[in-house]
Amino acid sequence: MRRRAMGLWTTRYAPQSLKEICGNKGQVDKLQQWLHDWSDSSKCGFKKPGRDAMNVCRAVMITGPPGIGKTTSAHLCAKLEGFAPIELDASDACKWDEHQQPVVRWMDGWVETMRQTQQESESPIRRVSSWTKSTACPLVTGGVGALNAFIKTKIPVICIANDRGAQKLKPLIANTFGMTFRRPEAQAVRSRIMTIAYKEKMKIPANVVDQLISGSQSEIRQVLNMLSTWRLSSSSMDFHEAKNLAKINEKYTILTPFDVTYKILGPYAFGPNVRETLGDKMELYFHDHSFVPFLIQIKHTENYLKTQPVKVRNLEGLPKMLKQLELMDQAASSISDADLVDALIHGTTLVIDAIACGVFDGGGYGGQNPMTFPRWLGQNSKQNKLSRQLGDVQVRMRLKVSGDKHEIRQSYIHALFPHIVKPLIDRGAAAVDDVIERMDGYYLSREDWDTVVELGVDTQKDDVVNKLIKPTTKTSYNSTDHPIPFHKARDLRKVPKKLLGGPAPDLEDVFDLDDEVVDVSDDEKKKVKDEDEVAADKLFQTSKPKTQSRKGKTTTVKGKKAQNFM
Amino acid sequence: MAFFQAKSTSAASKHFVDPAHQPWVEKYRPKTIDDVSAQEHTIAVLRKTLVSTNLPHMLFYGPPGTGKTSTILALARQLFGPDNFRNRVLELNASDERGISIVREKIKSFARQTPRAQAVASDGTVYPCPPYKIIILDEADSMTQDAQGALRRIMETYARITRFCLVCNYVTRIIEPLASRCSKFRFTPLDSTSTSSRLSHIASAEHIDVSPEVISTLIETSGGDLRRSITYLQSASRLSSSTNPPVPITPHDIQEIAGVVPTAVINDFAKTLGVSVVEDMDVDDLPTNWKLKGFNAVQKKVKGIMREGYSASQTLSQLHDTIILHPTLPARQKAKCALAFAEADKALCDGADEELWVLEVGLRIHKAVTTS
Amino acid sequence: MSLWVDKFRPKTLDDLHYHQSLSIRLKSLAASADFPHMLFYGPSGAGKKTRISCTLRQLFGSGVEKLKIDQRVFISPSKRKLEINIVQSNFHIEITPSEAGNYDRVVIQDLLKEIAQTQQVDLNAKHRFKVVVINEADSLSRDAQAALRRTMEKYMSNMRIILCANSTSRLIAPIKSRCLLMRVAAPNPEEMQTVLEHVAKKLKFDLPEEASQQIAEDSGGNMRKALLVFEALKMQSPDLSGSLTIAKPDWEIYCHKVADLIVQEQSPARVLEVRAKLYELLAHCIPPTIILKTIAERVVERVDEAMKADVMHWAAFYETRMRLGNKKIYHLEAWVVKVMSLYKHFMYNFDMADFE
Repeated sequence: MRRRAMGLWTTRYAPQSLKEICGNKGQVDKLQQWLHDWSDSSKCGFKKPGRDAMNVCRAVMITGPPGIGKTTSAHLCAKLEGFAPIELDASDACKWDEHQQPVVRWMDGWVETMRQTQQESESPIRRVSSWTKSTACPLVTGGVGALNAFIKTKIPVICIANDRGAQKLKPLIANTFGMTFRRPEAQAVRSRIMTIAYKEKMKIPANVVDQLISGSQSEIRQVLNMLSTWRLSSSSMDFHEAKNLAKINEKYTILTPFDVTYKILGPYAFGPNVRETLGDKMELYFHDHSFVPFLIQIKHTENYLKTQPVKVRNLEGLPKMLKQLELMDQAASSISDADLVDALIHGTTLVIDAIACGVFDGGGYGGQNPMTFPRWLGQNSKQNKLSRQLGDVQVRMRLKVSGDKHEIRQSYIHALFPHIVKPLIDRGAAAVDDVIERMDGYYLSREDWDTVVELGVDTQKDDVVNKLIKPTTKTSYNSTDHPIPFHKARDLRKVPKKLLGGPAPDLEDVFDLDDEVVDVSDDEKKKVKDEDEVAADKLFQTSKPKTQSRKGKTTTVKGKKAQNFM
Repeated sequence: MAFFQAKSTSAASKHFVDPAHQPWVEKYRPKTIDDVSAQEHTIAVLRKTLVSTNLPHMLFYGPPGTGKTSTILALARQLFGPDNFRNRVLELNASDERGISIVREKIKSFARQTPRAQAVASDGTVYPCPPYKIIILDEADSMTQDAQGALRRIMETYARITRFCLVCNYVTRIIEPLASRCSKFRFTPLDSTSTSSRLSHIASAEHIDVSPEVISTLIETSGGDLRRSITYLQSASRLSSSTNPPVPITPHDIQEIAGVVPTAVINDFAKTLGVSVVEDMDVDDLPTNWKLKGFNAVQKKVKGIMREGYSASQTLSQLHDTIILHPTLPARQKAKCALAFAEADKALCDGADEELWVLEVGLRIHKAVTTS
Repeated sequence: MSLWVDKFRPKTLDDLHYHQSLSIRLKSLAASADFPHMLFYGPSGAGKKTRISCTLRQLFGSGVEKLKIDQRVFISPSKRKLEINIVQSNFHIEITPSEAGNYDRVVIQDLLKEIAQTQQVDLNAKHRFKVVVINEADSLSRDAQAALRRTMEKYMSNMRIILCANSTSRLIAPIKSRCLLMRVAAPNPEEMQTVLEHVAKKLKFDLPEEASQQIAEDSGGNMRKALLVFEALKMQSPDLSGSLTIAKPDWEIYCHKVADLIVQEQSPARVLEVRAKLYELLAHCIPPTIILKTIAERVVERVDEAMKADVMHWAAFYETRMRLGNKKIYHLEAWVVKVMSLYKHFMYNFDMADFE
């Protein structure tokens, strides 16, 4: 159906013949051929591959960037082959639901209607269903599954999508012949655009058209839209206007942080032949402004030492060493600078941030570097975990000890080692009771013992230590009980109290305290507490018979201790 | 859990303090503007307003402890008398909430009220009691810009019935529109004569013996801030009277209370760095670690200072005074030292490790003084 | 069964072995009706906490020694769970607000308000107020300190605050002016030896002078460390005679190894090796400042006099950066590279000087 609609040039000038399609000639031909052969292929059950090896597939999947002619080609080919295409796209998804059944039924019903119409009329009218789906389509997986099932029906299906690699499309890939449409070359697009411009009585020289095309990356739809808008105000365009127009209409493709990192730290990112300006490189940063600097920082710092700087390649011996150290020094200190900038102005002046992190890091010490996964992340999470565990140890020991977390780590852990770890190494299972006694003195539990071992470095490193302890010792240690000074709140299922954030007070030094100090009535408070506590308090469970410990003494000690600290 | 059980509400109001434990700063605050010492110009002007009872909006600025708040409070008392004082004067200082919401609610509603008719004074004296109220904003420079902005309009709108008095340390922190609505009064730092006479007066009123050295140490350590000196005096007397029999107060006590590093320690440190200190020219008094020279000597001395627990910024500040005011060090060396002090101050403000920076400053001074 | 340092910790002000003048003062203050807010400050291991508990005992009697741990859970505005541990007795409560990180202000306000709302439970208590001990006061954020200031003024009648900090530099002036400053200096070697001898006597064995001197010097004014080392040494060589080698903690030995690596070779490969070891230390919860200082001090021992000042200068420089920056390893590494570069250049100039 040819529609000479009012506004849109994209519809007005939609290609009516294969000649008018810009680019992807080969693919379009193949598509047409496939459609042509479709009924024959279906008669022999899609067994014979045919000329382009396409005929084993019932359906075709066309993928590629937007605006280059995928849907247009599909419609055109279908029409040329005598089909009346039906198009379904993401907006129709609302008619569908997660369950396959209604979907297939709907399609089947429609198919039935078609078949009836076909029988009624004489000419073979075949339907092609063209299904446009973009990766942003919120269709649930059920929809794709339904489509998959649908493909097995008796009509040719052409699926259109943007991103072949999308997760959603995986089930479809197996059933369809994948066809990738590329961005057409500038020449292919140029003549068509010139023709259209002429028809619209616009004066646009060829190089200007080229500028528009390259600015929109050969997206024909975009070019037509730009021109039609421009046409409203002027009938000619010069080079600079074209460039600006293209820039304004530029679309941002989102690169992943890893792509960006590769672009910035890639081997020739700062070489002499690079065309991207500093500004362009900075733009890369904004693709993901929280993660990119982080990734660059980490990857670069971890990798900069593994490369050989260009500047020392010609030196030898001691001068080389000195120069290399100098450069390393510069690089390391600019990394230090970058971290400082990142910490101090993150979130406010992102532009400068971008320069500091991306350029300093990527700039001075360029070279080939293999991308290894950042080590910092792993070490950081390890540190956080151990720090939390250390905090737990410190809390337990607080009843007896005065130090803060660092003092515990630096002095106490080392001092406890010969009393609670070494005996297990030297004397094995015989030492378990002594060790337990020692640990009881500080209310340390089994997890704390693990923490003490995990925190060791050098000769007290955990893998060294664990190797030295015999497994039998470990098991006998594990089977004995420890007293508990207190239960963690999370174990008791206590209700956490919400901290009211509130707006930050806009006075430097002052925070309000409520003027009234209201006294909660005694009884009320107590009552609520009692009910809650007894019900939720784990410590009040009817005690199961405790596991037989080696010394009866341990059990009673535990009981007594537990009383004091509730 | 017993700790948190509520008992019967006590009637004790939170502002009630036993007079015996009242801070001397409050107790000996001047009651009339004539009592305020050493601000001649300002007092003269204000005395006139007492007579004419036409008060402008005022901005008092100057270093801390020079009498700004005392002056305005004394003035207010003299204008309104003790009975009307409560409902005619609103005072907010840095310890009160003064965010923009408070400005909009509390201050505005107070400013709006028409002043109540003056009651006859209970003590018989006739007070001028002019037909307006006074709002005192103490430590106004710590109010945010927004809060200050909100004040402008209030000041204008209710100028007929409310006068504002802003008290601050740095007049530059008051926004321009606000400052332009007020008459500025500058409070100069107190000279030592008036300070020492005031301190002696308080000491005798409280029956404490203080020697002249103690008074001069008080003045030195407080840096021209009379409030601080009085507070130190009170702490010192509290400490000394807590033992039985009371121990006399020594200058050393004052230094401890003030958190000041003893001069002997600073001089010793300076000597190790190669800066000769004029006072102790004793030939026999050799530094104890004469064997160690250069780096090791400085390092050991720094560790010693850190072990004593002295604050690094305090140490450096005093060392700075010793060196910069040194009579015989060449200017070039002083300049180099000054650079080191500045960097260290910045680093310490940023929270850097104290020992490293005291060592750094020490080494740089040592280098500046021994080389060049 | 606890370590000696905890077993023989003095419980009353009279038991304290050094800083007698301080103890006298504390005793008389505790007896007077006018007990002020206090700030105990001094280096680690000098005895601040010990003195605070002795003061509490002086104020309230032995009831303060019955301690309980309570764990409160708060939900921060960003929906994170904060677990705050409170150690308390019937008369006092001890908190470490810096556990709450950025929300320490809110935690302080909540808890202190709660305390202020209540009266002293035991009517026979010698004092009407309760004491709040705040540990690591110098890690309080500025906001928390401002909130504290307000509280100290408002609730003077039924609450007293005792702050414990390593240094006064990070406390704001209004807080310092509201507290009585109590400086607890590190004990000197003689004082430490007195304590060691006292412990030895309690345990009924002889402590040779040489050993106690060695221990006192090694610990650098940290009484806690000295007692821990003492106990370890006794386990190692029971008669404590002859020359003794004091075993250093695992992390310290590791740091010394790193320092040796730096001085032995200066190359990219070496930096990578050092980096791995630095990561190891950081991941095992050694504070970065301690790492830097320990390595620096060892490096300084092994380089020429002329270089020492430079090494420490850059240590100070990068330590500041570490505080301000996010990723500590970068600044540590930058310092290592700087030192290597300096060292190499220094040696090079030295060598060249020989040939001239």
